[in-house]
Amino acid sequence: MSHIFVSYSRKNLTFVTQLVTDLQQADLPVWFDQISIQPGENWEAAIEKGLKEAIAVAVVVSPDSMASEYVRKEINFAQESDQLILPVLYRPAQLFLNLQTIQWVDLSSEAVYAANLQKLIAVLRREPGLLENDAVPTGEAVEVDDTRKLSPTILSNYLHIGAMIAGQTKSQQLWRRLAGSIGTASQMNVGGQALALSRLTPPTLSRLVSLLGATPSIQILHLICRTENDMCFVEDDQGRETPLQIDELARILQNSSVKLLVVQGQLSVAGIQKLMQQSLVQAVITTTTAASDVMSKLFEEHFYAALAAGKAVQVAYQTALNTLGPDDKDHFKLTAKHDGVMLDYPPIEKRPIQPIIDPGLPPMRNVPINPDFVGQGQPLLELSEKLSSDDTRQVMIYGLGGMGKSWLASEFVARYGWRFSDGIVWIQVSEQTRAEDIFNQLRLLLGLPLNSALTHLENTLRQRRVLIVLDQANEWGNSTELTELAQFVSRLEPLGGTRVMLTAWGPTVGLAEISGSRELTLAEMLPVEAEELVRQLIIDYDVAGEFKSELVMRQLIEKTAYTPWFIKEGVRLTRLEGLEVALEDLDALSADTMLLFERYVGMQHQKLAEPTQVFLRQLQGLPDSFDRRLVQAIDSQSREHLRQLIQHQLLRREDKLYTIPPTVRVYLRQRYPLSEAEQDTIDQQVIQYWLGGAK
Amino acid sequence: MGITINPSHPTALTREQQATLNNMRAVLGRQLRPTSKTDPAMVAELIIQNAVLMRENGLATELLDYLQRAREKLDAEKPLHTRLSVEIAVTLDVIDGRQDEASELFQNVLTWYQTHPNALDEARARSAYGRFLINRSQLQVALTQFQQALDLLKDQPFEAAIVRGEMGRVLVGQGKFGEAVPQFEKAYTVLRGDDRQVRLMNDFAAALVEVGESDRAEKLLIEGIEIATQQGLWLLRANLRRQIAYIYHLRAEKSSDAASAQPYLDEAVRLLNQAVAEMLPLQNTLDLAVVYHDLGRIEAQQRHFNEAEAHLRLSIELFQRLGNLRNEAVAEITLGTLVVLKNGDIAAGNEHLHRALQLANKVGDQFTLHQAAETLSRLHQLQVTRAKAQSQEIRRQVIDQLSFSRARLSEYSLSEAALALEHMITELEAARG
Repeated sequence: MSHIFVSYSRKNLTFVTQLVTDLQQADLPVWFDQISIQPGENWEAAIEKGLKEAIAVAVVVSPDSMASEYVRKEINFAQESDQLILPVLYRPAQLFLNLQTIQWVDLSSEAVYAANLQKLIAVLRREPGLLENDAVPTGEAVEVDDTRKLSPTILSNYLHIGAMIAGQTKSQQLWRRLAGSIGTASQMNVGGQALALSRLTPPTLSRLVSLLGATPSIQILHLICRTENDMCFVEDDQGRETPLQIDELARILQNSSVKLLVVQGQLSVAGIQKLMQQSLVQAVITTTTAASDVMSKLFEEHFYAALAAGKAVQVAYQTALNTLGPDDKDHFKLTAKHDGVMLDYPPIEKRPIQPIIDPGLPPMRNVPINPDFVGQGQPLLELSEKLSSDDTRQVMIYGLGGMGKSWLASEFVARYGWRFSDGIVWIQVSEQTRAEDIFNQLRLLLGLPLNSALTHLENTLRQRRVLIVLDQANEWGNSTELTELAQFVSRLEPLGGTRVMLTAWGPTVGLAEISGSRELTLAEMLPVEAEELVRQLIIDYDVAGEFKSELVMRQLIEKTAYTPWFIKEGVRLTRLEGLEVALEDLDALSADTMLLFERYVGMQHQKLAEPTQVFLRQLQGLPDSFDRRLVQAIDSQSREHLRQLIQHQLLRREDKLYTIPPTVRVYLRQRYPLSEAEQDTIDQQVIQYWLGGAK
Repeated sequence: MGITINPSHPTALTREQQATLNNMRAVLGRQLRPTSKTDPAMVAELIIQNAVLMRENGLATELLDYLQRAREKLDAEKPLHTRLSVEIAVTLDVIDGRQDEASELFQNVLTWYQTHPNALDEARARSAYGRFLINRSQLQVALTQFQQALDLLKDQPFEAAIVRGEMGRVLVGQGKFGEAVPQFEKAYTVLRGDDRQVRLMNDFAAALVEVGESDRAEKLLIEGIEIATQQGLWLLRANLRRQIAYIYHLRAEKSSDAASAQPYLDEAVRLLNQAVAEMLPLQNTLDLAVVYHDLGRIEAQQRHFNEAEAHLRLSIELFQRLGNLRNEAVAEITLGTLVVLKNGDIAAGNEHLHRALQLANKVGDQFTLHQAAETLSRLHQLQVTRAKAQSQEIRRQVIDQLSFSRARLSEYSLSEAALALEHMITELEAARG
C-alpha cells in the first residue's frame, strides 16, 4: 500500500504523534514507525520497506531532526527515489541543504497549526496514488502577468509590497521564497488585510525609479541585494552589478509612498537615518548576510502576517522575532523614526480577500524554472547581445549534450524575459511536435482566435515582442512540419522585436539557413566558471567535507572535461558514494568529450538490472514525456524501475513528468531498437490505459 | 452583460497535455496504418475520447485526418462508424468553409439511424446537430433537435439532463426565460455532483433573475461557488460571483432612492473586485475585461469616478488586445458618459463616442451603433443647453462639433440621430440671432 512516511527525531515524539493523528483523521495513509512496525519485526528492514513504498515523505524539521543521521539518510533516499518531500516545520533549524529549495509547511506555533495543517493535507491529497480516488487538483496560484494590468485602484486596496532582487545567483529561488512567504502570511490572516507583492524587473535603477514613482500603492520596499558601505548593488540592463548609493536611494524614495524598507543586507545607522530624514520612510529592517533562508522565511511570514493583521511595524517585528531561536534574533534589526509606526490601510469594506503575486514578467507558456544556474556568465551576456541585435531573427544555441544549452536558455528567460513584453512561449520539441502546436500557443498568447489565419498571426507578431524558444530542436522528426515552421520564422520581422531561440546539438536543417540567424556555440566551461559551479554544488549537496583542498576540486573538474552536466554529476556521485568512487567512475569515461555522454549512458545502462533495462527499452514507444501512471500500464513494477532510472540519470523528472534525455534516446535507438511487434504491444497497453483500463 | 450560448474557453495546452498529445500522435501514426493488427474499434474510441481537447486547441484539421482514417478501418454498418461520422461532422463545423459538408453529414447520420435504431447514439447525434444549428443562429430548429433527443432519452435521465441544460441555454438566448427555468430545474436536480451541474448555474441563475426570482438565483449561485471551489473550477467561480454582483446591481436599480441603493452597489463592487482578484491568475482576458467594465460602470453610478475611469480604461485596453471591437465599442460608450459625469468634459466624451461609433460600424453591430448615437445625441443636447448661455465664439465651436457629428452619423446611416443633431444646430443658430 502507498502511504506517507514520517521522518522525524524521537526527541519530538509528542508533536509527531499529534501530526500523525491529524493526518490519519483526514483519511491519509501514514507510515509511522511507532504504530506501523509489528512486534518482533526487524526495525531497520521495516523502516526501509516503509520508506521504499512511500509516495511522499513528511520531514518534521527541528534542530533535533536536522542533527539526525537517520533523518538525513531518509531524505536522501526519498530524493533519489523521486518521492515527494514535504518539510514540516516544528522548530526553526538550519535545514539540510537539499531541503532548502523545497517549500515547507509551518506548523511551529498554535496560531498557524490548524490553517497550515489543512494546506499540508491538501498538498498530500493531490499526490497521485496516495488516495484511492485521486482528488481533483486544486491549487490557486494568484499570479498575474503584465497583460492583465493591475489597476492602481485595485492595488490601493492591498497592503502592497514592491520587491527587488538584484545581483543574486539564485534570484529565482529567492523570489519564490518571498512569494511563498507572502502566500503563507496571507493564509495566516484569513479575513485580514490582503497583501500584494510586485517584483520589480529588471532590477535596475531606472525600473526602481519608474515603478515606485508610478505606483503610489507601494508602501513597503523589500530589497534583496548585496550591500557594502551603505551601497545596495542593483543591476544594469545587461545584468551587471551597479552601485546604488544611499543618497540616491533616499532621493528615489522621496518620490514614492514607501514607508517601510526591508533590506536583506546591512546599512549603517547614519545611512538609515539619512534615508528616514529625506523620505517618507519611517522604519527600516536590515538583515545580516548570515541569516539563513529558513530564518528569513520564518521572519518574513510572521512579519508580513502581523502587518496584514493591522499591527504596528514594531509589533510585527517583535512577533516575527518571537518565532526565531534566541541566537537568530540578532540577524534582524529594526530602526524606526518613532514609536508605533503604522502603515496605511484601506477601509474594511474595500479590502479584497486574496493576495496578489505579480512576478513582474510577461506571460509565459510552459517555461521551465531553472533554480540553480551558476557560471556561464559570458555565454549569457553573448546570448543577450545577439538576441538584442536589430537584424536577428533567431539565435541558435549549439553544443554537445550536457553543455547546458537548455539551462542557459531558461536562465536567459528568467533574467531577461522582461524584454519580451508580449510573452514567452517555450516548446519542448519532440519528434511529434507540429508547427501548428507552436502557432496555437502563439495565438493564445496574443489573444487571437485559434482558427485565425496564419497571416493574421504573422502580422500581429510584427508589432509585438515575443520570444519563442524551441528546446532540443534536433528532436524534430517531421520535415514537412519543420519546413512550415522555417517559412514562418523567415517571415518574422526582426525590427518588430519577436525572436526565436533554439537549442540543438548542431544545425537543424531548414531552420539554420534562415537569414538573420545567429549562432552561439557552448563549449566547455572556463576554469574559473567551472570552479564557481563546483563551489556552489558543494554547498548544495553538503559535501564540503569531501573537498578539503583546491587540488581535489580541480581534479574533479578535469575529469568532467569542464562540462556543466558532468560537473553536477560528479558532485552528486560524491554525495552518494564518496569522492573516491566518484572520481573512479568519471575516470572510466573517455577523455574524448565527443563520446563522454555516450559512454556515460552506456556505463549507467550496464548498472541496471535486466528488467529495468527492458523497461527502459519499452519507453522508446513514447516519444514525449509521460507520467507515472501511464507507464504503470506498461509494467506493473514501473515504480521501482523509474526510481532506478532516475538514480542512474537515465531519466529526468520535472514536476510530475518524466523525460528520457535525448542522448539516452539516441543510445537506445542505436543499440536496442524495438521490433514492430513489441511496439504494437506497448501501443495496445497504452491505448487501454488511456481508455480507462489501466491496471 | 448578455448570456453566452455554448461558451468555450480555449486554453493553451499545458506541458502535460502537449506530451500526452505527442505520445498519442505517435501511437495513432502506427496504429492507423493499414497493416496494424490493433483492434480498430479501440483506436477509434481513443480518437473520440480526445476529440474535444483537439478541437478546442485548434487541431481540428489534424483530428479530422485521424477520424477519417479510423472510420475507413471500420465496417460501415457498425454503430461506431456512425459515431465517428458524428465526430467528423462536429469537427468540420469548426474548420473554415466546411460547414456545408458538416450539415450534409449530419443529415446522412440522422437518416442512417432511421434504419438502424440506437436511441442513445441518435440522441447524442441530434444534440451535436443542435449545437451545430446554434452556431448557425438557427435556434428554433436547434430546439426541435434537442426535443427529439429528449424523446429518445426517456430511459437515460442523466443524458436527458445534459440535453435539457442545452435547451435552457437556447431558450435564454431567445429571451424565453419562463420556459428556460423548468428545463434548468430538471437538469439541475439530475446532474447533482457532476461538474456540468455547476456549469449550467450561471445561465440558470440568469433566467431566474429575469423571471423575478433573484433571491433564489443568489442562493443557487452561492451554492455554485462552493461547488466550483471544491472542483477547482476557478474561472467559473469568478463568473458566478460576477453574476451575484449583477443581482445586487439589479436590486440597487429597483431601490426607491439613492440611499437605499447604496449598500447594494457596495456589495456589487465588492463582489466584482473579488471576481477580478480570482480572474487575474487565470488565462482568460475576455472575462477579466468584462468584469473590469462592469466594475467601472457600477463605480460610476457610485460616483467613484477615478476608480471607474481606471477600470474602464483597463477594460478597453484588454478588449483592444483581444481585437474584440464589439465589446470595446460598448466600453467606449460607458467611458464617454463617465468623462462627462466626472469632469463635465463633453469634448472628451464625444471623442469616446465617435470611437464607439467607428468600432460598432466596423463590426456591423447595429444595436451598439444606435446606442452610441443616442448617447452622443444626449451629450450634444447638454452641450447645446450650456452653449446657449455662452459667447458667440463658443456657440460657433459647438455648431462645428455638431456638424461634424451629424456628418458621421449620416455616414453610418443613422438618419434619426443625424436629424436630431440637425435640429440642435438650428436651435443654436437661432439662439445666436
